[in-house]
Amino acid sequence: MTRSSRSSTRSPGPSPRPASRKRRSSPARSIAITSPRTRASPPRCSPTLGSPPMTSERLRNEAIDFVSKTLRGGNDEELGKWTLQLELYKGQPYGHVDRGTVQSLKAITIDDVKEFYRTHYTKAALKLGVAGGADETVLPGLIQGLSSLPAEGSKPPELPSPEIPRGLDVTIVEKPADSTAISLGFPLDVTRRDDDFYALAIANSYLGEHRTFNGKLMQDLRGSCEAQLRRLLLYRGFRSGRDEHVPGSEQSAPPAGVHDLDPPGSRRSCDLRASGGSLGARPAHRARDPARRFRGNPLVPAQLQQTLGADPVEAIGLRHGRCVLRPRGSGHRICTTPPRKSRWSR
Amino acid sequence: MHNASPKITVEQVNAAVRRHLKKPGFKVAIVAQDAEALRNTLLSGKPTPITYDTQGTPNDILAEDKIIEAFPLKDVKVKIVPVEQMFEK
Repeated sequence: MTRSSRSSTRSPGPSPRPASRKRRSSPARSIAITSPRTRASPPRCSPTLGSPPMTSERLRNEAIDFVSKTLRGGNDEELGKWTLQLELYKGQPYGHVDRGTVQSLKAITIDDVKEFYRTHYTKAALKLGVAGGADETVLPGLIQGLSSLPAEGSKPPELPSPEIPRGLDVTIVEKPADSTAISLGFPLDVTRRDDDFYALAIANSYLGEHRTFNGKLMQDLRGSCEAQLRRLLLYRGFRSGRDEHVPGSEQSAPPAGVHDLDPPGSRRSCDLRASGGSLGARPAHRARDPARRFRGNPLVPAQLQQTLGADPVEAIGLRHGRCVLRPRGSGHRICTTPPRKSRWSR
Repeated sequence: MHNASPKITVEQVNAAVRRHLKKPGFKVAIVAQDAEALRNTLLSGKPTPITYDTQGTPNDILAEDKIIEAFPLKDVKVKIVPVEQMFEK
């Protein structure tokens, strides 16, 4: 069980005590910074680390709800990641959700919490970091306040080497889901102390970090989308950042289904929409020829692609679930959406 | 990290990758419906062609897809866990 990080900033309140228990003597009050200190005012402090922790049914129920409802039902990505962790470290200290399991949370008692607090919140286990507006007058108070903690307590458990998986060891968590969340990996015997850690961090960044689009794997996955756009993004003929007329392109209006996200001087955004396997034309509010609305508009001829040169576009990010592309050297941006049936298609 | 990273070479990165990122297997976690069908597909060893909703995928991508769809999955073990049982005990 871990102490919520919010408790260090919570205002003190009466600890819940069963009526049958004798009131124990209050321990020496300790001090923890709960608000930023300015030169004009001293810090406000509250008794936290030196006092027994507060527990309540509300906290227990919150934790149970998180595990049983949020993880299981509300966040497939986190569900997949935690499932992977449980499989990687089965039977080891890391082999469980850090908030606990449903049964363990239901079974935990106030005495369990107090015992954990007594044996783990110790000076030997404490690392104090102070930043911000703290000066030499703050530290003595902090140290004095923390002096009431026990000197020693339980030592951290030994971390055994996790099992190295063989082949593909797959766990499928079955639930109603529109999409599929996949997490995969294997344990590494590398810590931040290893020289190879930095090299592997660079490799990790190259392959692709979480929620970024500049990694190689994501670029490969998105490559087909980008390649299609290369054949379509000929609005006013992009080349080397200059707008110029390209034979075969239309300067008066974008090609069917393509709209400039940010034409010069504009912050307007538009979408590229594809229809049922071909690029259906979406009538642009700037289109001057209504006859351009038709399904199955041919893709840009190959010679136009050659005119643009290699790699005319680059993916620059994700916005509202859409891949944002930009012709190289141009300030214009074009936005894609997942292909869907256009309401204009026939 | 700030001191070390500018001095790392491509060769050092590749060497670290070869030392550590070559394991005999993976653990895989999949959250999905129709788990039985997915398990059968994983165990069948049959190719799983990639499909696209739009036309015009470049030929080099399609050629790469042919390799990917038939990539052999060796020593596959699959178990299915209903979501209600996850994180219960």
